[in-house]
Amino acid sequence: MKSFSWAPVVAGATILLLLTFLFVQAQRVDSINDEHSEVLELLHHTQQLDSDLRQGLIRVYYDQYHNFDSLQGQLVEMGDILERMQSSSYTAFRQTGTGVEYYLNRLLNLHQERLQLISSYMKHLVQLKNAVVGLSQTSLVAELEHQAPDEYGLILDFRNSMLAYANTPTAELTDQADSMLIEVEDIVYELEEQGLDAELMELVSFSFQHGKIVFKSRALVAQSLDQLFQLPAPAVLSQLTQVYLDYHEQQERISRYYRVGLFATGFLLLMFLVVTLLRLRNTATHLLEEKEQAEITLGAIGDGVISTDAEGYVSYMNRAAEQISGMAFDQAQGQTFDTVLPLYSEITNKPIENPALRCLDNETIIDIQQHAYRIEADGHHTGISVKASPILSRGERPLGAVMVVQDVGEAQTLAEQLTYETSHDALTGLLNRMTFAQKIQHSLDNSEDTKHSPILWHIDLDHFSVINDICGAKGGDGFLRSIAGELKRSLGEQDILSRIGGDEFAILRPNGDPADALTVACELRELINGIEFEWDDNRFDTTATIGVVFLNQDYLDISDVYMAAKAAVDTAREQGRNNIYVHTKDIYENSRKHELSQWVPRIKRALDEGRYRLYLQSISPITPEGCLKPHHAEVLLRMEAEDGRIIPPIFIPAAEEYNLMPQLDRWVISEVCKRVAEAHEQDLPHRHMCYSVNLSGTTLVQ
Amino acid sequence: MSVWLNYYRVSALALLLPILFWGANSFAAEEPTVSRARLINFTLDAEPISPLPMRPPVDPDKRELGRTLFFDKRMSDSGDQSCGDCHQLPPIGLEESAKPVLNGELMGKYKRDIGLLYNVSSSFWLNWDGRYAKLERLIEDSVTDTDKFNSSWPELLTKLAPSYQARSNQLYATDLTQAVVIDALTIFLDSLNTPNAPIDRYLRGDKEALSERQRQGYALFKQIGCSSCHNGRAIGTNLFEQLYIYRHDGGAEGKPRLKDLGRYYITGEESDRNSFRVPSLRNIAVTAPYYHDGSVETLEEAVEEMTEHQLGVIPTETQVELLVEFLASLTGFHAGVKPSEGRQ
Repeated sequence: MKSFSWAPVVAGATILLLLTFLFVQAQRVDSINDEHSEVLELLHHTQQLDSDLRQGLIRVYYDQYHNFDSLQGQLVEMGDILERMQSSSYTAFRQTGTGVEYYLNRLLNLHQERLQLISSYMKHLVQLKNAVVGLSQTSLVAELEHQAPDEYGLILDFRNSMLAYANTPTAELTDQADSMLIEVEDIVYELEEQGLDAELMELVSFSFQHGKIVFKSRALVAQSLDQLFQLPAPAVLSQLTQVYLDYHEQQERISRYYRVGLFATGFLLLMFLVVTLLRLRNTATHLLEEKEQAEITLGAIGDGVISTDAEGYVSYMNRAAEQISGMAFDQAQGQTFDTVLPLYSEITNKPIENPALRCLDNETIIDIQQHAYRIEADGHHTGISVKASPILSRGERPLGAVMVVQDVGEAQTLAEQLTYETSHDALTGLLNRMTFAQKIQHSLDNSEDTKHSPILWHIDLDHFSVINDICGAKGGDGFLRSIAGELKRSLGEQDILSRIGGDEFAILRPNGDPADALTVACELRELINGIEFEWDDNRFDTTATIGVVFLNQDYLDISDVYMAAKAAVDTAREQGRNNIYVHTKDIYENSRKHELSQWVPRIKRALDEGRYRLYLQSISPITPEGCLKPHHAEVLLRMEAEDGRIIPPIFIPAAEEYNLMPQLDRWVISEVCKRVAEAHEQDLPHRHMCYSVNLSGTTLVQ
Repeated sequence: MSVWLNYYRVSALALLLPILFWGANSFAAEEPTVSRARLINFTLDAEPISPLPMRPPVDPDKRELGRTLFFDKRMSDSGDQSCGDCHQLPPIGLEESAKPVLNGELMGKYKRDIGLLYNVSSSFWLNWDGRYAKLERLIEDSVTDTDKFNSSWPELLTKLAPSYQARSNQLYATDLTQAVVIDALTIFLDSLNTPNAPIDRYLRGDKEALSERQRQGYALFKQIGCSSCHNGRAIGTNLFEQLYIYRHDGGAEGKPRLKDLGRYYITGEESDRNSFRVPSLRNIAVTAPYYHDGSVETLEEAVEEMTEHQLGVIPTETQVELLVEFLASLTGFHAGVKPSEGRQ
């Protein structure tokens, strides 16, 4: 499994983080910008208020009947705005270095100062206006003209100069008013001493006080108005606005950067997603293909495959597994292996522990090849083999387990069938030659009992080819089948019947009594003779030639045995069909070998001593005209015995058995050639004769 | 094909609409709102007195909360004094209460007449010495002032919380806080104006609202200079003025009154010695006694004294009568508030 790669996750997370950061920043700056427009509007409004306030101050001076409401209203509003700006959470006011806070504080101080000045301005303006009104009253002047004509003029002058001063306080008028005040003060005392009418006196005194207040208030009003207009509030306000605008612009710039960054990162994220999706699609397609391939593969194999997840619940089953468990995958999914395929031990007959869980827990392969079975619906047991393997990944807990389940019962049947087919003759159902050979070998190896020995009856049907020719292959087969059936019925307990050739049968009794051998053979012959085979209105009598062989250690291999059997049958057949011949290895082997081996020293000695003689037998064609002159001769070999007798070539089989023939043949050839050469030298009459020499097979092999 | 054309048209519209709205908004934003307000002020400025606005639209639930707090005796340290105990809110301007409604008790550190709370929200300066310009600040300090409730906010809030927590949560979506108490009380006080006095109706165009003599009194009021100080919506409270501008060394009756230094206590400025906030003349006819020390019982006396000492004018008897008659036209209407009462 390819190891998990963190790189795309880290890349994606980084882009997302960056995006979030930029978004938050952009939002923050945006909200600050929202504040900006709010603050700028407030500042603009404050500027408006400020100019209104200045106009109002002048206006109340000239108004006949003034109303301070609008002035006070503007003051309160301005105070509110400044206070709001100061106590607000507007970011610009919380940030140092922008200068905004400084100007705002300055503005607040100026506002306080202005409040005081305006209070003072109002106070003195009211006094001035009222004093001017009081001074302008005409009732006093009329009274005074009668009662104190001396002072009348002066008071009139005083009143006029005071009003003139109040109107335009030039330096000249100020001096005049100042001196008039001193003058009138004296006159007021004089008039009081003169004992003027109390009511009139009061008027004069008031008039003097009016003048005094006009003089004082006019100066104070002018002074406070001057001070008010000298307050640098508008300048500070526009400075504040400017500073704020600078800050605003800076923020806008930053906001723009964030926006560009946001766009770029968004694009990056999009690209990343596209790439990831494409790769994902690729992987998914691959996986799908692989999965399909795997499923098809798993479905195609004959073994049941069940896989589970890490907790041991079934996640996949192929068709074979469905057949074995008898449960469809839909039902089995999510069940435990136990539920899907309950297994029991053949030994204890108790349920076997869930192999899936065992393999998951131990993380090893669990192999249950034998002694497990499941109970079918009809109650009989089926052998099951299970091999559970954990799916391990990178040394962590297994991802799941894969169980390969085989129906061992079925496999066994198949194997048995195969064994049967390979070991039995297809036609008769008897053991075939090969298997029978194994049986013989087995009985050969195991026969130690000297008294009893394995006995083989070789049954060769007579005239089978005739039946085959008349009835065809089909009839022949039927004939063979009936023979086989009859033979099978006659078998003893341990007897093994086999068809070892086309029309040859054999019966092996692994532990037979040699005394019974002939009896059994006779019985077999009787049995076969009793069979009447009918085919297409043809009736056949059946006979068989039987050879009996006693098997013992002297037989080196199976071919020996067959050879002996064949020999026995052949011997029996030589004696006429439907016959029995008992072959004993002892007799056959001892006589022949002994005889042959006796020849060996004689052959060698004769060769050494040159006691071989060559004879010629001329060969003449016989024609109606009589015997013609011979045109060639056959060379014959004879041995001269020690006593001088000429011995016919009965020694040839011994020479062949003991590999002496090549020597003899070489001697014959060289002798013949020598004689022919002599004949040519001596110019003998038979020098043109042809000679034929018989060579042994062993020589030719060499 | 036509479906696609439609689609493009709709998306183009969807793109254009916000732009249009944005454009409309930016044009709307440039419309000068301030100067229009100025225009209205300008016309009203011709008269020194402005009509009192009708009762402002306040949240009735918050006003009710404020009323309950106003009459809650737990406000004071000792637990036996509410705002309403000192600040009575009798009915005003109704037939049966045409008589003076105050007992003239002197209160506080400086032993001053506390007057009526009506129209308090129209006052620019609060208290006789203008200690406060904002009701909120005044209420805040009233709780802690030793000569008022002599309590503390945390203590007060702990005491009030059980009764008002639910209302506060409901109306302000927060637990009972100082801000909630102050806001509720302010809203209640805002509702205490006495609109629709004859003078207001007169100023709004109903010339018959004032009688002939009252009209003469108004002219005199303006002419001799009363309106220099007593102007605006509240007919006063806009400025501080020195008491006894004329003959301050004269009358023996002035001496005890001048013991109170007024504004000087606040600012410490020599020029503010004996200065007081010009009181509001609204409902003046029914709120005897007069002056900060409540030393004058009748309106005639007060008018005489005022014209003499503040304007340097000795009015004739007729003039005084005319002025007094005019002052009666400043009485507005309010049904009054009682602690037991529910909503008005």
